[in-house]
Amino acid sequence: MRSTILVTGAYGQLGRALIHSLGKSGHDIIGLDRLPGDNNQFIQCDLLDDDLDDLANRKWDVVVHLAGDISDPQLSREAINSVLPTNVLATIRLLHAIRNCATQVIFASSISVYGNEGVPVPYRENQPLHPNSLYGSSKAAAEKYLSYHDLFAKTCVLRIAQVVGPGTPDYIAPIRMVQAAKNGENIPLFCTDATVRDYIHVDDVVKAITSAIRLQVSGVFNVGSGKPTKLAHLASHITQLAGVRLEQTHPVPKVPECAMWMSIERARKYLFFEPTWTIERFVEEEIRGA
Amino acid sequence: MKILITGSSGQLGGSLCHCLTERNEDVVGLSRSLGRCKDLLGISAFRHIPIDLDDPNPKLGQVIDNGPYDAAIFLAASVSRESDSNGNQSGFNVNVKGHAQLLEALGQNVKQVIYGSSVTVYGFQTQQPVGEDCQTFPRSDYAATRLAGECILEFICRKRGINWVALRIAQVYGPNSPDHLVLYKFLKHTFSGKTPVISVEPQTKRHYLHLEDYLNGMLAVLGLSGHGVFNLAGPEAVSLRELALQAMKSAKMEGEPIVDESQPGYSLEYSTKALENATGFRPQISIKTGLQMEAKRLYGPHINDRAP
Repeated sequence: MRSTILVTGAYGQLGRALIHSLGKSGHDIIGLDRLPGDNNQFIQCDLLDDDLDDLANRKWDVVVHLAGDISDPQLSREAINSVLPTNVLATIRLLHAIRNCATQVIFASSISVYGNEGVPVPYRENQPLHPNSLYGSSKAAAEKYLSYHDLFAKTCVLRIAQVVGPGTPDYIAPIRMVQAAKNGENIPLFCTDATVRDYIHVDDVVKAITSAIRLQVSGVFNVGSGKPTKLAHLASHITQLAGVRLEQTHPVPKVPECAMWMSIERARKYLFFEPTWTIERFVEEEIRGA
Repeated sequence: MKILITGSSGQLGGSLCHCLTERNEDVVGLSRSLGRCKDLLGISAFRHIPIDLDDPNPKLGQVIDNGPYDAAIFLAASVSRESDSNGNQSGFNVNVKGHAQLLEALGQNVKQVIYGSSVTVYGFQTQQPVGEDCQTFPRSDYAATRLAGECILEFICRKRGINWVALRIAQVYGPNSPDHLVLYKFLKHTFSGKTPVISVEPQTKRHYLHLEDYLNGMLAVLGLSGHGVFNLAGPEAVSLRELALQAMKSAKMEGEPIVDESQPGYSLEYSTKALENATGFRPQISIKTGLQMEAKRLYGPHINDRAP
């Protein structure tokens, strides 16, 4: 069935990949972003400041809300004034606009809603949320607001692990390590064996979103690799691939020494989701492609 | 104790300012206007700072200068304006961002935050009574922004090592309550000689909280250490039929209420066990007693004292 799909955050990492993939499926895809667009299947709009009547006067089979601030700033007045409006108020305004004209809403949330200190792993969808960052708490708050929208549409929350792939910022640990290896530099070991993370390739996230659209599901789903990645292992894997050495840094590890990874059993069961990439394959391709 | 209270002009904030100043605590009230705290002006234990948390950048210097505070009690709320064409911006501004800005500005100058949330965050529930760990299903913009506020403010408190209580408060009745509550409609009917009409299934339960129990519940959590989310509701829920019969009894009216089951009803009943376990507090004013108090307060001349 041909569907009309609105994708907010169209120029973000996920937005670009999703629109590219959906474009091949024969749906009507409308992208929305603050930045100006390059075709007529595009709405330039600031969800915080602009009038959203145009969105309210159309019929949307699916609205995929990816727009948001992914920076993770320290708690400060400035951060509150930027992250909360962008991640919470923009969501409220969007949902209000499409209240009576959208059948399904898919919201890109984050693994950060679970928090990390003293939280049991792997994270499961029904455990209490203890976000430990302003970013995580803004995503949790937007999720809570979205639960109100259940009255008006099918709502689907995807809690996404750290995304890697084209467009991932350089400060993300595997990218940083790959960059160092590519430059022939030794890799600083800035973590211990206890540092565990969850990485997912952007293509796999796109698969999860398209499944959620195709199956018209509602509910909360973790979208991650489904396995823990020890950063220290990944670092030594990269040194072997690139023929560089590990270099013990001191004094202190720069990343929290905690384990963060999610169970993806729910996504497996209801979205038939199975990641096709691994972080090892990703770093291999990055280094070989150098 | 020095206590900061937002929403001091409203029913919940105003009554708490009165209660605490009577107990000789130092109270700083924050609100756009004085509202219900007008009569506290001139009392040395009370100070009012005019601030609108709906303001994009509220000037918080005076609030900080008056600190540090033993507790900050957040009761300012923006009532839902669902009809706004671009979403309820002030709901977000006040319930989420304004309080986050205030808390951020307070830094380490506050030991405890008590956030006045609402039982409306639960929405409809199949299991009753509703405990704090039930999944939430907000059914209004107000409830949804309250819940979003809980998320953000709890995070800031955890990050800063500030003690945190979210109180999910049931519908409060008593002096200064909104007269659209069904309890007041029943009283209004019976005291003007009309039989009350129940427009939903009559066994549908409502759970109220008398203003006095609200104040005592607040006092109970004041100074509590750690983080907690607690329901604050009256001793028991009451069916609409029972409520109507009690209202009729207050007015010495015989018979049964009129039932017009045109709308489906859903029961609301909240557990206050967690609050009792944490503080020892139990609400005292049964709906029967509370309704008598209200009948006497509003229609006093027409009502004889009854033996308890």
